[in-house]
Amino acid sequence: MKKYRVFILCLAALLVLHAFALGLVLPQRAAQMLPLQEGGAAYIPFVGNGEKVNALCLVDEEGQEVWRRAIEPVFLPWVGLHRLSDGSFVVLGSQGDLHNLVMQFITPQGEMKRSITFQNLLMPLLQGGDFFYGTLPGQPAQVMRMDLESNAQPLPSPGVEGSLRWTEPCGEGFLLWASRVVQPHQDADKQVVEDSLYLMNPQGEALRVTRAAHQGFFGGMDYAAVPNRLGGFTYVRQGEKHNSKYLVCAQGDQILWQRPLRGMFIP
Amino acid sequence: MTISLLEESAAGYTLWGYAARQPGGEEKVVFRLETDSQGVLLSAAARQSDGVPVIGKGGEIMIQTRWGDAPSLVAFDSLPKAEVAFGQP
Repeated sequence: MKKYRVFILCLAALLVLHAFALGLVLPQRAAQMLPLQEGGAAYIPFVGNGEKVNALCLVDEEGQEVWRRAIEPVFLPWVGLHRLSDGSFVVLGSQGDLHNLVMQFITPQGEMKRSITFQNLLMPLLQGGDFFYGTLPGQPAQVMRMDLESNAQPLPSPGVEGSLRWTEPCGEGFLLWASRVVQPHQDADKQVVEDSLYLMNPQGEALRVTRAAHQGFFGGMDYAAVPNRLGGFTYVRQGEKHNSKYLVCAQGDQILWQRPLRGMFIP
Repeated sequence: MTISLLEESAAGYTLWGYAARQPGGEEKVVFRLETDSQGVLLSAAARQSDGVPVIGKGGEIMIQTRWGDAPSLVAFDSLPKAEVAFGQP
């Protein structure tokens, strides 16, 4: 019996050490995980058969639960977990179909502050700083400011043309990326695509814009871009073949240089 | 392969991404590429993982992966090395 006890203790110690070496391990399966700048993570746990989720949790750097907050249930698989500059969390999800969205604001301490329902309004909702960007069908991308205190407010738009591809927080504002096909062609690898990148301030005004066209595929999965010290943007774009990528440096309406990236396959 | 994070550094750029070693393959890696300020590849490092690079504590890049059924965050250099050829014609 004593041998078993020693064995179990050793096994437990090994598991703890292994987990420590691994870093932060969540205590359960999760639909979404959001690492935090100050350490720890917020996550949305799976429940039941995984059809819906109904809680937001915060864990510290050791994976210990700090708080758990019930949220209005939203359907999987499409659930977004975001964070605003005041430290509050935003859970975006659908209550039925994708045209019936609910946006839930939870304070950094885990209190439910607001819940806003959208019906057939903005798709998709992408975060950029404290803003969420959405596209109304058949209209240019629309800027909406959402935070704990205010209602959804349309902001001045920089005249974004094409499909909204990506936004992400950048400095005090955010980066926005849109693309459109400017010369369609029967062969997808011969069409001409224009990428527009914007650096926006918190008021939704464009501080920096580049607009550069290239021949190749539209879309892809690489949403990687950074404002560079030349005053433009450096970003990754899809090449003429599905598995080719280019690192592009653009300024204004010019591509200063672009380099192919090769080596592996898309998972 | 998919590039998921791009940073400007003093020397140039750092690209983080993930990929399969074969088309449709199950053997997955995460990688870090360093370029100069003109995008010329300077170095590449890959680790065995089915995770994705994310921004973690203090802006440090971590790999979000799974340990058992639970998501986890691990340091890139704590993962086993993978030999992968990167090229730039």
